[in-house]
Amino acid sequence: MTAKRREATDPTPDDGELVQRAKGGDAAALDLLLDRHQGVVYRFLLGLLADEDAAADAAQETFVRALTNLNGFRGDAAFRTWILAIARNEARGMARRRSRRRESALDDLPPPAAAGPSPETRALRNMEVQRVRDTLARLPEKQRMSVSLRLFDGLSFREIAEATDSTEGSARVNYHHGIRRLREWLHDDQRT
Amino acid sequence: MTTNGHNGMNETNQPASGVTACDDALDLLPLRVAGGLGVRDARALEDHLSRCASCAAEVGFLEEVVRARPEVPRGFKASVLGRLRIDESGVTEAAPARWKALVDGWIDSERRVAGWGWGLSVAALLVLALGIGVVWFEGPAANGDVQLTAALLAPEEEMVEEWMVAGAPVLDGLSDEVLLSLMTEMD
Repeated sequence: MTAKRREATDPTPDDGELVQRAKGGDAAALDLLLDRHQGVVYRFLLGLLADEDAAADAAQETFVRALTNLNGFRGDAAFRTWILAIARNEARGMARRRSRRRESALDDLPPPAAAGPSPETRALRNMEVQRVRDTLARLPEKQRMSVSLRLFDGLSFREIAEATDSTEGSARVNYHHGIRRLREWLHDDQRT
Repeated sequence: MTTNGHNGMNETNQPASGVTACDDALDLLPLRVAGGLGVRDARALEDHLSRCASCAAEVGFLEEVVRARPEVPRGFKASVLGRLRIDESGVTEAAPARWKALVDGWIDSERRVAGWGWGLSVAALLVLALGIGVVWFEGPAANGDVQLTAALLAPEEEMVEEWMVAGAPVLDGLSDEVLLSLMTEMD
């Protein structure tokens, strides 16, 4: 089947085809790539950085980096794997910068008076969604990432392993441990 | 896998029949919830769920978790496209008329090539000016080197106006006709 014919008959072209079209300047292909992957990149970074604003900034940086260097994508790995690797590097860089800033800020500023959730967060916590999010955030990083990538974005264990720099077996175990803990903690919360 | 309290058996304590056992079902359920399940797996899973109450209950739990899925902040895509300079002419984020960054990148690379071209042209003119200078001071065919230089420069020389050296007019020794023509052009 030729590319043209496939385009006419297949309403959901795969990432490889979209990347090729985007490289050729097809704005619609670029738009679709962004639509398709913005969620997983954002949630992946949210899992790593545990901060919504930082995750959004890092996700934006990730896409700008990836899309302006699209010619560097050779197609050896899946596009999602490639962009998640860029996101992971971005998160590492951001974590380093935040750590440096925190160190210098600690030299100059007094420590915060009270550590704890903001009034807004406390209000949201009453909601079921926030309760699940908070519980998910308590999971160890590898378990949290495995649950999030598997459940929110439907990644295979192989893809999760590539994204989190672990093995497929570890990704599977982390996912199941994470889900089990999540269930237990949510159940415990409901009882108390 | 015993994540929801059962051990690969269905509620009748018999091994799950059909294509999908509980372990497989538990692996596949997240994909069902996330909407990423293939047709064949989906069929096998639905078959299993219709016979296994434990796995069916697991679906409810996973759906509850998925409802808490964090979504990308509003305006995220517009921010990215803005960084790519796509929407600077008011193009909407939903349907950018063109991928301007790519075009910009292409223009930049063209500029780089053009820059090299200009550089080479200027270098050629400088070499030409040097060659003419050498010929001027050494006299015609004073030695073999000058002849060689002149021979090498001959094709370039044809491309340069006779009163221009390195882009600047050389007025000395120009005929009245050429001077007149030059002044007309300057007017």
